[in-house]
Amino acid sequence: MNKEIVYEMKNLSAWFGKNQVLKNVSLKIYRNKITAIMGPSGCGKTTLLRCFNRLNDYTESFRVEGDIFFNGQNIYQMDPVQLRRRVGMVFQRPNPFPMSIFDNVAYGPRIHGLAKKRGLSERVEKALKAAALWDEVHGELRKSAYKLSGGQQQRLCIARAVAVEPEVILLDEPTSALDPIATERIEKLLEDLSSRYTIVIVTHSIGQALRISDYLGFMYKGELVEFGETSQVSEDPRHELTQLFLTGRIG
Amino acid sequence: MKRTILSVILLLALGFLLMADTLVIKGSNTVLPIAQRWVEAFKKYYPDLAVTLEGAGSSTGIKALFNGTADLANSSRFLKSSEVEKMHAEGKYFTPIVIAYDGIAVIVNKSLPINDISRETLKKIYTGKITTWNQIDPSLPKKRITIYSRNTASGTFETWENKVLDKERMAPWVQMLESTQAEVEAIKRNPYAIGYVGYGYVTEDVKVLKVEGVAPSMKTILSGEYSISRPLFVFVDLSRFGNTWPETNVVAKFIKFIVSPEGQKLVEDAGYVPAYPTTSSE
Amino acid sequence: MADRIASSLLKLLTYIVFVISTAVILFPVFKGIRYFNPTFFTEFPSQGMTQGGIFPAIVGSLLLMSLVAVFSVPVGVLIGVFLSEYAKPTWLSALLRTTITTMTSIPSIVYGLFGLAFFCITMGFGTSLLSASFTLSIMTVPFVGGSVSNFLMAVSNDLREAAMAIGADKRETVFMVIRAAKTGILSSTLLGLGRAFGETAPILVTGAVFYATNLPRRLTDPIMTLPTHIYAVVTNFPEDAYWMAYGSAALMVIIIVAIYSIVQWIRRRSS
Repeated sequence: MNKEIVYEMKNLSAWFGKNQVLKNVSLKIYRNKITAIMGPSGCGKTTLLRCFNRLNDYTESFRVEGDIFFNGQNIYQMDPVQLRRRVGMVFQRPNPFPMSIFDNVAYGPRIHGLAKKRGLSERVEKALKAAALWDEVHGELRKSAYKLSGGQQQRLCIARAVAVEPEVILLDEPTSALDPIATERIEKLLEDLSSRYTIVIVTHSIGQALRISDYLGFMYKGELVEFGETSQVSEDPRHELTQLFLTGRIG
Repeated sequence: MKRTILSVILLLALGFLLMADTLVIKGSNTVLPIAQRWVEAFKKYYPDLAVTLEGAGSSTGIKALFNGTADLANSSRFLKSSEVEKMHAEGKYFTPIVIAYDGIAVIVNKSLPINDISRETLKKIYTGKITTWNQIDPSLPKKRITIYSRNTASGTFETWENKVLDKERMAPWVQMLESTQAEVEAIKRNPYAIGYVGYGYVTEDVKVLKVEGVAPSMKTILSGEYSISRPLFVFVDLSRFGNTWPETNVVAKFIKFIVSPEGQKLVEDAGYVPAYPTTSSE
Repeated sequence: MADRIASSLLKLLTYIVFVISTAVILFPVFKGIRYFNPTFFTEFPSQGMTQGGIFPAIVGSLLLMSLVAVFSVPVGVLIGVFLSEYAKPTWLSALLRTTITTMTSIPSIVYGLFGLAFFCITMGFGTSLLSASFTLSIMTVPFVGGSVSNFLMAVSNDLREAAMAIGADKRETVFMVIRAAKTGILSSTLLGLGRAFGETAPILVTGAVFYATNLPRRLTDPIMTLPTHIYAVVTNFPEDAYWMAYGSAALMVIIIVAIYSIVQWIRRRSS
């Protein structure tokens, strides 16, 4: 089994103002695996996810200690724009750009100068196919992205992230705003994508975490209480809090 | 943004190339209706000339003459002594040309049974010594007089101050109005009101009183029989032309036109009393 | 019961206000529209404003508004973008924001006095199209800037993060936010120009004449405009010239109503 490390987080602590939101978190993310981080709301899992692409940095009061290595390189010594080009992100609420479906997907390749005109439509098609949206929208790529349904918009956001061909895709509770059918489609899609991308997903749904992940972490009050292979964590959690969460007694 | 600035500069540059003969006239609002007619008619003789006409009062016009932003100043009064001193101090030479007479008509509501009034009585009304109509004549209603005046910035007010008030203070309850039209309207609606307006502004809606037995008319105003009247002036600064009459300059041509029978006919059209004949005597 | 009374009173009040405001809008239109004819729009005023039309005032207002748009829209939008996207939340930016809000409520004649002192006299532009358009621009910039920054700040942070997350730099992110707020920005500028269009006092002291024989040929020429023309006619001419003021007022109301309708249409279409 190939266990190449993509991300390594070492003793990461983070604060918003005086409020400590992450406490000494260490973990590893493996290539082409789905890593799920679960935990009750307010446990710091979203903040943790946003450390991977330094998206917390623009918040004035945010402060961080510890190290994160991306392919062995310290991300705090990288240009965040370059980092984010290689690490895509999908958010809790679908947030397409105020432009056409095509332009949404083409946005990343365009700003990074990844493809000229002809290559661009191929890229967009490929990304939309990868996000399992192509069949539904290929006739109306010029239509505003806002005209799509919630589930379609979220898949569009995935296509948008995929279009720059990142190494990692970060997903922050991507299905919490969607209905069960749309949720199922996205979960299926993530499994397909994991053959080519490293995926980190934050979720508060235990079911989702168990269904799709290879590695599973449990966070509680800013600490990474448990982290390991999903089968191990679900069957034999080392920590009592994990057990309580998995059985629905906290959360 | 850069392009915007550039095009503004270009426009400015282009503008200076297209400079044509211009004539800037500023001053008295009273003279405005006359001056508009002059400018319009004068333009027919000099199609290439561009004229602008601005109101804002006699003092503003004279000030503009001082700082050179106007070629001609319309004024409903003569220079104040302070202006004369300043003129000498700055070596300017303002020449007055009387271009019309403006009789100030005393007006009341049509229903009021009064036809004649003396200047003495008017002064008493405006300074507050008389407050009800029956104090003037017992046969008049025992009602409080509503007194209207033009605001102090107007030339009409200045004439009123000189000819009627003898520099005494107006009673504080006199209502100051912005425009002659407002005054006519107010008096039309109020049966116990009195006011004064330029002779040219009198309408059918109000009654004009005789003053000292003389009704204002072209004849009585020009002859001086009617006492509350004033000359209207155009001032021109001859120091700009080396203190001589600038025979060939457009300013001189304009003045020649406004005192001509044609120009004076326009004074009459505007409702004022011409200072010179309106028909040419061969 | 008390609720029912209160709500019907409020309803009644709303209707009354509606009727009054409609009347205010319609009165000048009804009173003035009968003077609309080709001559009214294409000729200079004549014979003590009793004949002719308001052509130079229409042209003057159009020129003035075009210049105000050229000067104030780019600056206003830049200020709005700066306030919303770049200014850090310090006391200085708070002061700037307060200043801008205050500036929008300063009476326009104060801008007129400033324009008279600065543009007409100090800069030597005189009573001119240029002075008037600078003065109105200075008045319009804070309005447009404040309003644009409000529209930009109303754009959800989700969008900024979406752009950043895909590797957009600051400039690209800001452009995305502008794109999302473009109808708001467009209506801000239209409303700003609409406000400037109706202003009388500042133009009166910086750029307007009551009568000109020619259209302005240079930026330093004075102009006639619709609002100042109404003012000139009403305050200085006898009643037989009043029709021209009513006609001009009707035209102004129609233009203003048109601008607001366009703004409403843009907003409705985008939502």
